[in-house]
Amino acid sequence: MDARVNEDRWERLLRLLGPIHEQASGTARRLSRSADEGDDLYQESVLRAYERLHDLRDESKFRSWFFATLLSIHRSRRRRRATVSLEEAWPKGGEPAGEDGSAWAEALERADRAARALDGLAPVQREAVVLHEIEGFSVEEVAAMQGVTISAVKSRLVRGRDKLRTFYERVLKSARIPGLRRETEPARELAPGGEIR
Amino acid sequence: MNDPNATDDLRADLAALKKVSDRDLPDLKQVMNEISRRRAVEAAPIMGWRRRIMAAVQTMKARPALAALAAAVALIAVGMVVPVSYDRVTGHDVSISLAGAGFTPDQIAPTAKEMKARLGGESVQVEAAEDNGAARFVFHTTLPERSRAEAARKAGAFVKALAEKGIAASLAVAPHKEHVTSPAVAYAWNQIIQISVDGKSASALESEIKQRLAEAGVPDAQVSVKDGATGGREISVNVQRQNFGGAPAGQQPEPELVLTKNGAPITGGSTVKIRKMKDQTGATSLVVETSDHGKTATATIPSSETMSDAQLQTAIETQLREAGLNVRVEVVGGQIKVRPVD
Repeated sequence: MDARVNEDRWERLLRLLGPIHEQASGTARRLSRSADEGDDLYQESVLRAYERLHDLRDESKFRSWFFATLLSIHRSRRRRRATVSLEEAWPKGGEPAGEDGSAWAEALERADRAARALDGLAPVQREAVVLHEIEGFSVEEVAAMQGVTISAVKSRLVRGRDKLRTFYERVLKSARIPGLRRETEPARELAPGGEIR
Repeated sequence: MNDPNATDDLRADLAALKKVSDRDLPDLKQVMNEISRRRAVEAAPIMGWRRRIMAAVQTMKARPALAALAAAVALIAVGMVVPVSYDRVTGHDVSISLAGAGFTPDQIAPTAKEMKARLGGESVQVEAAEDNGAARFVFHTTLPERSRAEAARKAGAFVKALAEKGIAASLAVAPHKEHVTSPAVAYAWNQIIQISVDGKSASALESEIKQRLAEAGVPDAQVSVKDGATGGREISVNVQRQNFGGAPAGQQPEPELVLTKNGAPITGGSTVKIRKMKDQTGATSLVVETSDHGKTATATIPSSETMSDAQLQTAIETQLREAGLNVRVEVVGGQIKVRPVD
């Protein structure tokens, strides 16, 4: 009897999760500091959703409900996780099929820099920026997912954007060559004798 | 990117982040397989416990306030199970001595019965003695009242009733103590004396403080409560104890007196605690702990017995003022008074 109930619950969850799986698992990665951490966050969110599926009364609100679960777990993880290195944040294997090698290398570097910039934001600001600026959710949708008012989301966006701008101003100003540079390489200049100092 | 002020670099970087992080996303089937594996691991009892403990430790690290609360709870929990031994006042011993021509041996049994009935003691023991050739009978009983005044009132009424029958009697009341071993929390509870000042005159408050301290094992406290001319109240509690080489093992520490008004502890005001500690060589160290409106300071004066009143006054006042308390100290005949300067 219990096994049957559990099976039905899994089936119901998979049916609801299917249409949003790609977006939600991608968002989990973008909220995290690495692909592995994001995948782990997503798995935990799915498990939590399964355990609390009986709380979901209106299936049309599943997307918002699931993202709210994901954000809740994201915040609790942020509170207890120490900073991790971003060196292996994203899969660094060869470029995907059909992708230009140098373009992919640049995308990896840019992704690293964006992740570093987002990492300087408070978790709720990072969520607001990722959901609104990258995932394209409306402010109202983000407010429902974060469980706050629309004005609170707007305030988080303003602060988050300010911090991102400050980060980029600092990074680009200190870069030897304007534009893209690797964060991990400190700016160096040649001494008159040709030595690196 | 919805931010119109975003730089091209920021736009490009966020787009790259989406592109890179979307690569090789596990499909739903892979996710479900991984979740099944995780659930199997968590279902193992040892791993489950380990995970829970680790999760609790991580939560504590992340939330210092929660950790402090948990530590306090743990301390109370420890206090509830760790036993300590101490003396506790559980009632009062009443002794009534009857002597003289008005009392004859055949009155012993009915008097004992009446005493038991009127005072409510568990049993009455009678001790016979000879006093300069005359018989004297001492009736002993123990009353459950922890209040000395209440025990004395009951016994006094009985003595008065005897007097009305022509039997002369004298009365003695002493705290009945039991050595108990109980959890530290219970001990701490016994040692905190809460007294409400609501609607009590200075004299009523004075006698209540004295009585409650006696019940807590401090029968010799000198208590004084005076109403100030310009409002306020001065409460002084003087207890003298002499310890050589530190407190002897098993000695009961002083109870803490907490005065309340409208159900809440009275804060602010000034308190002064003076300790004189004499070592085995006879040298006395004087410790004056003063608190004034939440600010506390301690003056420690070694070899205070060699100092004059004026020297002592200057030494205490200097130390307390250096610690930030604006006070005036008076020492007369070794008696120290510390008053805040408004």
